[in-house]
Amino acid sequence: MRLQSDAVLVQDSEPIATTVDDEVVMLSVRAGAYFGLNGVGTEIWNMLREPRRFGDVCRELSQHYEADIDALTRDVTMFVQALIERGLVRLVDAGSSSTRP
Amino acid sequence: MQFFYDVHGLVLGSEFPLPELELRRRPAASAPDIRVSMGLLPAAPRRATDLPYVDAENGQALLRIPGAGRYLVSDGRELVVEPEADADFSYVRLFILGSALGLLCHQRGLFPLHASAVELAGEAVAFMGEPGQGKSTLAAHCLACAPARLVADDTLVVSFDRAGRPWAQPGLPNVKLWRDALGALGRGTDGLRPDRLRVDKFHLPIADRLVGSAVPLTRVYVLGHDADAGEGRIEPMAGASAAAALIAHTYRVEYLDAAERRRGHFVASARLAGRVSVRRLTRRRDLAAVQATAAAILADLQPALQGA
Repeated sequence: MRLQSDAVLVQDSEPIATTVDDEVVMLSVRAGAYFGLNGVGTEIWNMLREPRRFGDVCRELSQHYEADIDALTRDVTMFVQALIERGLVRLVDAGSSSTRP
Repeated sequence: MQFFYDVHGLVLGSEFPLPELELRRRPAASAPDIRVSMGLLPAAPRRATDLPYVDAENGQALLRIPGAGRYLVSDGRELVVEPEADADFSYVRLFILGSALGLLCHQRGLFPLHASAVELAGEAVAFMGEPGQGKSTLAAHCLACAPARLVADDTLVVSFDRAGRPWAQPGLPNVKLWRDALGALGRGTDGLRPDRLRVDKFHLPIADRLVGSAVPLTRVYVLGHDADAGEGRIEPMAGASAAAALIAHTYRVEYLDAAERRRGHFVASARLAGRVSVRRLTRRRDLAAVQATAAAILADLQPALQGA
């Protein structure tokens, strides 16, 4: 699955998330599993408290880390897809554009 | 209730004696926190798994241990045991003080860890790890080489005060050690009670070195083995990995759902990870080097103890 840059993402409300030493840890009873996020993962998770466009998330991160937008988008896509597959993040709107962010 | 004991910071009243615990010198002023009795239990669906049968509506969980009996644990307060016919009663008691009490602690919202702990300079240091990682051996060596006291062996119950500070509660008054670990301490097995579950493991009574009350828990070592690690490689763990280690080493973690504590326990794990220093302690498997490992731990603790 490709993530469109205008796809809208938000944290799912099911998992319980809490912070330890600036890292997010989560319990999903639905998935029957615990999850831990590292520093950048935590940053992305926090950005998705409110619904956000995927392209905006990548742009903000690339500015913050002065990283190449294409490489960063590939990495963030994999990470966000993993969050979606595990039910931790929800796709509010799949988006329609086929252009890269 | 005729017999009163202190265990895991709770007053336990029992209809029958529990010689594995030390009798309270004076009876409790108020009603005990836990009541243990014997009785006939209602029929419940037999389970293929070893997970307790749960009657959530009544806050009860029923544990069945083949060869010992059935244990009904209610509201974190009541433990009724129905021994199997012909069961050896010391075997029945083993699960009263182990699995059933662990389940009851979960019901009470306490945090039981699969860990041994010692008190050094007023602070509790815990060793957690899988069976065979040397929790008891390291605790016993700390007792042998430092002015330390035992907090708990194998099962360490942690409670939180109103400010969220973790406290290590005094456990059972003995340390379970393998014959060779006793040998490394300069002890034989003469006069020691053999363990019921494991051949060549013995109970070293240690009531005179047991702490009398709860101790602030400040440090947790996660034990592991690695042939190349030498006598003791110590690395700090933070955040998610510290919380994950505390969850993984929770005593009877498989009972959390039966106690309806999965969510509460998760939040407590994160809180505990934020409140204590969790460190991975890796060492090579060599009993002759345990003394050196204990010394490495004391050295690792030194700055913290001096700062206290």
